[in-house]
Amino acid sequence: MKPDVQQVNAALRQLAEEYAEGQLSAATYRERRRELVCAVAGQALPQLEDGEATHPGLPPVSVESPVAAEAEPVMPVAEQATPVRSYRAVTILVLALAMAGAAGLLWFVFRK
Amino acid sequence: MSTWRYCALTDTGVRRKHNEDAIMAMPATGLWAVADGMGGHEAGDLASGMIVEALSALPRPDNFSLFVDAVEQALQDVNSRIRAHADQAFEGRMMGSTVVALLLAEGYGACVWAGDSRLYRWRDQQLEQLSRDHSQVQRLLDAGVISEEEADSHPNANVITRAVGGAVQLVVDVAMLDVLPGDRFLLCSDGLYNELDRNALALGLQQPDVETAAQNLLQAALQAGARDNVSVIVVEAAHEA
Repeated sequence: MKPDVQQVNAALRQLAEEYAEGQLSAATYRERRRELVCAVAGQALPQLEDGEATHPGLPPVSVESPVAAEAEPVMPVAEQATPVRSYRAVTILVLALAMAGAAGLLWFVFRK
Repeated sequence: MSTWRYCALTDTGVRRKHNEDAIMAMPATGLWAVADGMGGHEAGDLASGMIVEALSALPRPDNFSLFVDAVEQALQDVNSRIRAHADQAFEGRMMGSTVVALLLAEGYGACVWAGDSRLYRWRDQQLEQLSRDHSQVQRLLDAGVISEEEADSHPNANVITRAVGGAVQLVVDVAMLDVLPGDRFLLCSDGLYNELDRNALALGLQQPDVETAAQNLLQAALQAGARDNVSVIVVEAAHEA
């Protein structure tokens, strides 16, 4: 049974007001609006590619949703030492000590 | 298979030198729109032109809700472009446009709008306004502060609260509608309904075909003085054979 169009329009108006006041993200607003529009149109909700591309174990993340994008904090990777970086640091340290030793030896031999 | 008859007309009017309105009709897509530009010559007409250009390029998705999304997204993109252009070319001076779009499918449709351009439906000899103006006067009307008669002659009747290009974030309104064979829809700019009252609009829409209806409405507005640009689109859902 199709819903009453006037009731749907009242819901659409309310939804738009909540979105305009910042109570809803763009993604949530569009998702709820699609449900109302599809109810009047008698169509199934569209399967969006964004959702399909997401890992099945994770909720869909829309590129239109800044809230969703901000939900997962970005880790400060610069402060995390990876094994590759550790080996490189040790190598540089050894080279620096070797060069300092060679320079000291040369100074000792040629100082007079 | 849906069949639509339509007639789309726009005119500079009697007092204005330039037409800042723009109209579009895409019957194959099921999309019609009127845009009423603001900001003066080379600003208002550019803004309304950007809207109809963007909407004209839209494809028609199978799912109607995605069609609504696409129209909204196109208008939001134009909103950003208008604001960027106003900053660059007009030192931030106001540049924008109202818009009302009619999206039709078999048995139903949608109205998407921002500002005070309007959509009416003519059914069973009754005229019904399907869009609600984004205007100060409409707010007063909704709050019960003024009556409909007072609204028509209110000094702030032309002050709108929403437009494409009017704010960083554009929120369009969407209303769904059912469509019966024989329904007629009128999309128009304020240049029409500010000159013609509801009875005159109804009289114009009663004509036997959409061409006569649109031409009669436009001529009536011009005869009434047409202080603003006038745009009229009449769309009819064809009777089933």
